[in-house]
Amino acid sequence: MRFGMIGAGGMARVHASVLNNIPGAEVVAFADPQMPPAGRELAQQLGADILTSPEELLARSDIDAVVVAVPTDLHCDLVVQAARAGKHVMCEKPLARTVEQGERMLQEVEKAGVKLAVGHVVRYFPEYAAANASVARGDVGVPGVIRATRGGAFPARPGGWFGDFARSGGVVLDVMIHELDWLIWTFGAVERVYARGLLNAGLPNKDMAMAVLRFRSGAIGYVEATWARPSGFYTSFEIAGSGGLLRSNNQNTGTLQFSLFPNPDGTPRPAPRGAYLHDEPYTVQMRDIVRWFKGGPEPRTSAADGLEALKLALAIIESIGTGKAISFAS
Amino acid sequence: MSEQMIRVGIASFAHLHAMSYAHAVNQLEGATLTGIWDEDPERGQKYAAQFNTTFYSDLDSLLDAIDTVIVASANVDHKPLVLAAAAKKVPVLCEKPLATTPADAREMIEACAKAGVQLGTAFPVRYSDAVRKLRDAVQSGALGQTLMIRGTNRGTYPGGWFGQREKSGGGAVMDHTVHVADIVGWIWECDFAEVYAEAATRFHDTEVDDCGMLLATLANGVTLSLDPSWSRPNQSFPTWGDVTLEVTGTDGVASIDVFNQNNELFNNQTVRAQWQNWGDNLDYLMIKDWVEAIRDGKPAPISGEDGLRAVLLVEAAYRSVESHQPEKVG
Repeated sequence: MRFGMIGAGGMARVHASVLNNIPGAEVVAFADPQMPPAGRELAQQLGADILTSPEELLARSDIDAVVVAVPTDLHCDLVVQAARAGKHVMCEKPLARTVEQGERMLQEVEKAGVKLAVGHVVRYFPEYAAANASVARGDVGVPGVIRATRGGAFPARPGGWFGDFARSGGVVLDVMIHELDWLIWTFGAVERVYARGLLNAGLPNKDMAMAVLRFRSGAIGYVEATWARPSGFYTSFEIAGSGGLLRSNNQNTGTLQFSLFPNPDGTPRPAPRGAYLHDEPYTVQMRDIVRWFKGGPEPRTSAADGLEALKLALAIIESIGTGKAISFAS
Repeated sequence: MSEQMIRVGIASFAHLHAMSYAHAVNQLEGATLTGIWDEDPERGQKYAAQFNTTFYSDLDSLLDAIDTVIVASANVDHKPLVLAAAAKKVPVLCEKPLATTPADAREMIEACAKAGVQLGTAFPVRYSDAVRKLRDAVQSGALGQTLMIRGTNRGTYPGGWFGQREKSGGGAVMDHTVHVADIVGWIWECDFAEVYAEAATRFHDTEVDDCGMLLATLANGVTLSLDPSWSRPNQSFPTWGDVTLEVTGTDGVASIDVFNQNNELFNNQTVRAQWQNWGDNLDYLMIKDWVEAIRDGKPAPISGEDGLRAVLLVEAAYRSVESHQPEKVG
């Protein structure tokens, strides 16, 4: 299956490298109007064509599917164009910047008869998938209180779009939405949410949010996402139920650590490659998606799931802005 | 040749790992679990039913029907089963320790070499991503010159034949020296020169050692401390045990904790806390690699000689337990 990459930034390059290692899939072209040097280099390495416009890429009949990995506010138009060009689409999370865009994307792909996958990769992180299975099995009894946190340093990049709230939706739409999708998948629909955050605090290069959820099941959730740490990347969850408790965090489940003396000239020694798993989650996710595009079973996350997570994330942003709790009609 | 279905047999389910190997073969595309032989026919029939395969009451009949056999018997029975496989020219993957004495291990190596079939030792820990990345770091010089290594492979007491010297050949030192000895030997590409060891029976009603402590010297001068004890309390410890290394080199320190990828579960009915591992299935990766080697006619990924290296360290350790002085290895 031949893929075209729309976007050549960080996530696009992750997915392209992953696709390159999946038998039966190949990357044949990149299209990015602001092709970064790293994107150009990767395209050359993969032997993929370098195009400047998505239109050019979508017009090619030798491309079966596209990956849309561009700033959030651009997802909708590109996915709609791709659908109308008859291409299957893998779209990075969040699905879109607004509910209206998200709904339009789902309508267009259905009309075009193509498949839309959304990159909610946390369902493929084994600690989160194992927790989902554990809860389903009844290991903790009836869930009562769930806590989940994620985040790290602000993703500041020259010309970056993450810090532009109108484009990215800030830490809630970009980071917290990972947890929101996993929470809905594991604990069901959310009835009510109240949130607070730094969105309107006027602090450049800092964002953070805390949300309290009430699930339809009656369980309570606490979700926190941060772009206000100096460094590092931290994830954790704790699920307390009537019969037990399940917890995990990424700070104490590492398998390989280094502590190196600086170079003789005082410069820090670069850390060698870290360890994680034989098959990391982006690969497992993309394998599922490629298999689906080729006619196999659906991946763990559907486009409709992506829309549910988007709605919840936007409600959290609204709550932060208005200071009011938001309830969802059943 | 690459499309060929590899027919696998398992000889004995005395070792619990046989279950994991049977699962792995059943999961592998390109391999089929043709049958099981067991010195205990009732046990063999039970597992043949469980794994949807045929029980063979005659070992030679099984060997005639397969492309490769996995030996998972009690330790002292490894030799006769491997020799039987060699006599039938069937490549054989043998549980660790390869043998309970260096002489037996050498006999097994020679028999398979003469028969022209691969002999493999089952050291699944080599397939850990952490172990491989550590090896890359050490071999690329990231730690400078290695000075001292702390190793552990602690566990819970397995009971059964493990506690009977005539079947096991020894206790914790026999059982749990070898995994660490193998990954250290593999990473530093070095044999062992000398070892000092203590061993004792401190926890359980058994005739074999259930704990020990080794302080070994590699041929390259590096010191290795190794704790092989069955020191984890059976009823209460949240997991079976561990495999860890901490490597101190001139340029820094690296540590691995192979089985640290766990969700922690507390359950009121079970009472004992449980670490639910979500890391790679190392047995599956090992069996997959073995089947590929058989299919492609390649050498055993982990050889009989690798198995012998670990057995030599065990043998010297037990000599030191008696002499109360360091003993030369080999």
